[in-house]
Amino acid sequence: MSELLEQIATCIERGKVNAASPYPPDMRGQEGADELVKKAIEQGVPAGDILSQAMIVGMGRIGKKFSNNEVFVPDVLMAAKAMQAGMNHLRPFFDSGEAVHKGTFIIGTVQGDLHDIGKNLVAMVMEGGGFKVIDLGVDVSAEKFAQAVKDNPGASVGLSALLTTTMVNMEKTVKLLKEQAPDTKVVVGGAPLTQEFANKIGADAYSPDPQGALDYLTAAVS
Amino acid sequence: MEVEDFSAEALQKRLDMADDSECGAEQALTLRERFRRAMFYQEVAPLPNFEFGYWDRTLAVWRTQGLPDWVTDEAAAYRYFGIENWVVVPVDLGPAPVCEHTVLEETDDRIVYRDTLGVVAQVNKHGDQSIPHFLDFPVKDRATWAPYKAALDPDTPGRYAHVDAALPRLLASGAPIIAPGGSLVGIPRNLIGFEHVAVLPYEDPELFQEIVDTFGHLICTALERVLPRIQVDACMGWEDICFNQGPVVNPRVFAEVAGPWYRRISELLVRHGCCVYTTDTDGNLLPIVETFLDNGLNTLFPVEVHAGTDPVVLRERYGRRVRLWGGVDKMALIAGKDAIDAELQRIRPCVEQGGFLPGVDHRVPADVPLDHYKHYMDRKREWFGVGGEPLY
Repeated sequence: MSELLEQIATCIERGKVNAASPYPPDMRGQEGADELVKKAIEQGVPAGDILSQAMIVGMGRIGKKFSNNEVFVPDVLMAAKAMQAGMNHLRPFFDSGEAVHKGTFIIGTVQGDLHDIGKNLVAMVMEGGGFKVIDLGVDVSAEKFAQAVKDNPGASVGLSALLTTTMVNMEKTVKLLKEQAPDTKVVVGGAPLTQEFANKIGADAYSPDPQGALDYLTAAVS
Repeated sequence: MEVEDFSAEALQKRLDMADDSECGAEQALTLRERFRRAMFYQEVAPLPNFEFGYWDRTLAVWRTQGLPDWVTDEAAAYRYFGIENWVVVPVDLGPAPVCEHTVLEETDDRIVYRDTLGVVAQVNKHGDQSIPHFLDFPVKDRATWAPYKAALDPDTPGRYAHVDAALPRLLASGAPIIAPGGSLVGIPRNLIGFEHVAVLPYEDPELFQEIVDTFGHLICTALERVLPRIQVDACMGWEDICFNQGPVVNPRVFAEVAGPWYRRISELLVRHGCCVYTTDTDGNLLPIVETFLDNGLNTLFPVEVHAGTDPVVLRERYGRRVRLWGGVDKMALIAGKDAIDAELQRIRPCVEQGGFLPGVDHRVPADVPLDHYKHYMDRKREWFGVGGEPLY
């Protein structure tokens, strides 16, 4: 990896958004993901390389640390902010096809559930991991998930629930998705969930943390 | 500087000195006395039978399963199941209202409103009512924080308006008297939003410090005014700052910014003979538990097992330093009677060590069948010797 790409990866891993950002304190005054991604584009580094060899690498590092309880939610959020700052420069390249997503990921909290903190975290990490994310929001019906898959053939789906009383709605959603598009990969997560419950409702995977979902779907689409 | 000793032994000594005459062994103990003995690892029978309550829909579902029609609220449910309770000194430790409560949108299914603190939120009219879906938060920066800082003035009229009238009732109740412990990060989270409060210590550490200091100052000032007027048995705050992935703020930041306030509050409590200090925090609090314990917050509630806060693990790590309320995995109550028995047996050695008031680790959800819940209550009485007379 070139020095510039490594710098970008480090900025994303450590949540260094831009030169004005005071965080992290030991990088105060240095350029962040915002400036460095812009610089890489100006130097002619292919957008796909910036994404895959720097940005996804940085998010992957922080995601793994999060899975290992070495860092916490705020650190992931700062990394996601840095990622977002860099992605703003890459959007035109996605539009032109010069940069491509790993796949499309549709996410939402299931019907009856309004709790979106976990869902938002997963969406950030999936986007940081190279997926195009379609966030359907909260309290999403099975039919709405199914329609989104119909509109985005080949997309994977993430279902989130916080309450024991709403996680049962996952079963209905998984059933409908599998009837409509059996190859759709469905990952489930949320505080009350277990692997056993995921198996019971026919989900393809359960992940207790965002990185697990990213790792599973990255392997599944590659 | 002398370091305050918060060991169980030191706290017990203070309690004995402060309250030597109340625990007469020859007379039936009041609930208040039983609570004090239980929280100081003394033998007590029956053990206080405390619970966290129920989600809104649970009692309605149970009425279709045989719960009497008159059991329509938590107080009635406590009478029916023989659950005991504590009483709280009515001090308001929140921000004073900054605006009128306004309904912004209402449909057959949902209501969107702006509350008296300026938070815009949505609730569904049907199904489970728990945490609303927050749509907008009023505190975005130092300028928008200013009116809330003013609203946290300890002298705001009304904060102590109900204290005088309540004192005789509290003392006559025979129940443990709880001082409210306020919130250092939980209410700021509600005003700022989860994602913003999580990164605020990184992006504007001075503002985060100022916000926590403002809440801490309010709590200490209020307690200094109230504690001389009534002997309290415990202090209970509210934070709810942990999820199954740990706390909303970095544990190091939490220790640096909130830790000193917990210490000030606990020292204040101890000076007034109150040696049980807890705060309501769901989720996985293992990454911040030492900040609590090291600073005198010595009791955890509600000890949410499935999220990673396991009473057995806590006792293995911290022994008698940690007191526990809750700690019975609600998932076992959903799973069935065998699972309930297994869960209660799993925590039984910890309960028998003392300093542990077992109860469901959060509000009971509607997918716990009434039959399972009765079995749980029966087993709790049989195996743990908890008090309260059920009506079923």
